[in-house]
Amino acid sequence: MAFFSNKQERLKRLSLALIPVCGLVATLLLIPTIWGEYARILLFTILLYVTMALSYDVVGGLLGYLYLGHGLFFGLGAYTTALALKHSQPLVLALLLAACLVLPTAALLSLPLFRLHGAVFALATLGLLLLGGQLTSNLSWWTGGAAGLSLAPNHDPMLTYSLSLILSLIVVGAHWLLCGSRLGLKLSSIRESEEMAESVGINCGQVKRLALIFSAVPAALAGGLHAREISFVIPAEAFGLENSLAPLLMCLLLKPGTTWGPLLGALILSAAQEYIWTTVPSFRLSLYGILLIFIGIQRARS
Amino acid sequence: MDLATFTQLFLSGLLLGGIYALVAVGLALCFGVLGLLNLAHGGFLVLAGFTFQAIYEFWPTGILPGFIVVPLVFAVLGWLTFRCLLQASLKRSSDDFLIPALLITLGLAFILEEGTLTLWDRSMAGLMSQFGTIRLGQIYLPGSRLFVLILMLAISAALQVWLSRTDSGRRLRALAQDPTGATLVGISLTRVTGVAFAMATGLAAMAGLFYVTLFTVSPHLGLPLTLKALFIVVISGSGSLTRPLAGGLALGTLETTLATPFGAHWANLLSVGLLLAFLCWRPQGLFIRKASTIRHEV
Repeated sequence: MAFFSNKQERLKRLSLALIPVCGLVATLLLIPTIWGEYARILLFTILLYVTMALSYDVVGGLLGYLYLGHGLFFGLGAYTTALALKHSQPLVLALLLAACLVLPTAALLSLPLFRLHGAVFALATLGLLLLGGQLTSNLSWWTGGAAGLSLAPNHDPMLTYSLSLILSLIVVGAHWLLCGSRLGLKLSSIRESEEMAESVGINCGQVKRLALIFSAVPAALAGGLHAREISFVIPAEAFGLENSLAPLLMCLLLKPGTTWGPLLGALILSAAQEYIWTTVPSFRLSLYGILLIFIGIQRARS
Repeated sequence: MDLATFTQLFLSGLLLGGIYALVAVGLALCFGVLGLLNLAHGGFLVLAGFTFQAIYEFWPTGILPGFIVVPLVFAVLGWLTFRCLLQASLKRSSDDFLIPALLITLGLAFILEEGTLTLWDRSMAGLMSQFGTIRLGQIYLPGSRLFVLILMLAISAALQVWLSRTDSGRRLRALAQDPTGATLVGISLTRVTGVAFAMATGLAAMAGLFYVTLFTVSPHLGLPLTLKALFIVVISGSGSLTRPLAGGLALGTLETTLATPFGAHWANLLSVGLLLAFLCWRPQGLFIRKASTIRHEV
């Protein structure tokens, strides 16, 4: 599908989708006022997961790398936002700061990272995630160390909620446009064969760098919103492996490289997670484990 | 730092390094033959440690037979894991085997971690030392450490003999060197890799027993330890078993000696820092050479 539709057509279809989207936004904004705090937190979590899953998909699905470093940018965003809020900056400025910090970081990291392939790439990104967490807890004079950083309580929960709604809408729309754009096609062609892509004149290094940036910035914003929402950041959670794995699972569960795949995956997995958290909390990691094994076996067969 | 302190530190580091080395050798064994990065390795180690501690608690004299029985049981467990989860994907295509295997073993690592947590419902396991302390001048050496050090040396020697002198060891090396040639002369890829995986899991269990004897294990130790060992394997290469052995010993001693002036939380960064620096310097690693030889099989 992505192959036949061009950018103009996608833009036209996107503008056609404006009316139902407006309806959806209105409903999503109304739900917390009707069902209260629990519904708001649940929806907020789901919206963040949608953001994470779709932004993960740019590197993990469209570009097709096994990428375990998504949590690094989530954590960086969370800590930057938390530190800015600690110095009594407004939330929007703090989020902007997070994005401004993560953008060059992603651009710089892409230089050595994309010289790697396959399992070594996965291992290196996992190493970066660990390094980020360890450094954050070691630089305790700055970040509060392993005990974390507490913020003032969140006075305007609807603001974080609406910001997460806006963020996820932008990410869904941008991802959908990306799938039909030249850049999206370049990404898919690199996934199929990097040598071929190189031979038809695609600047692979630059395209991959763009992909990492597009993937990292929404993750950082999601991290920042999460930090504001729970008013607390701790290295073990902000740089936790789950922040990389949950998007990976959501993305790979159905059909990576499409917009609906990670989107549906995020909805399904966050629903399953909510159910398990409230019924059998000790089964949380095993759910990830079983899904990972399932996806691994699926991928080996395909 | 005076000489006695340094020697003491060096010895402790050597023991930690010995455990790293055993873990790394197990990983290198899988990796050298079928290019499999087994992320569940540390999970098996932790489970073995907890099992051993339970045996010790209920039956304190069972500690010596436990050193033989537990690794054997885990070897069987490893073989079963390979047959049930990994073999199907290996048969299909070895070129694309790395990524699915990485996902599968990562999933397994999570299940093992949570399984250990639910079964034991505690965050630590350790053994009281039974062997007394030996004193050499100013240096104190706990008997359990000496015992473990001797066992480690014995295991490495046995492994080397197995690889160089026995038929199954030779088959394994043949597959690692030239998969096509090895399969052409009738070596069964799945059988040998199954044996390699079982051996590796047995070694992980052995390392778990040592770990629980020397230090304390926690269910959350598995993945970080696996990663440390994987970093050793990626940096030192998996061509021979002596290189991961040396790499493990070096990392353990370096970590312990650096932990004294800088603190353990900085020494922990050493392995991952080294890995990232190494990959910047040599992005193709010593790894791709192996992967490309494996690509030609089947």
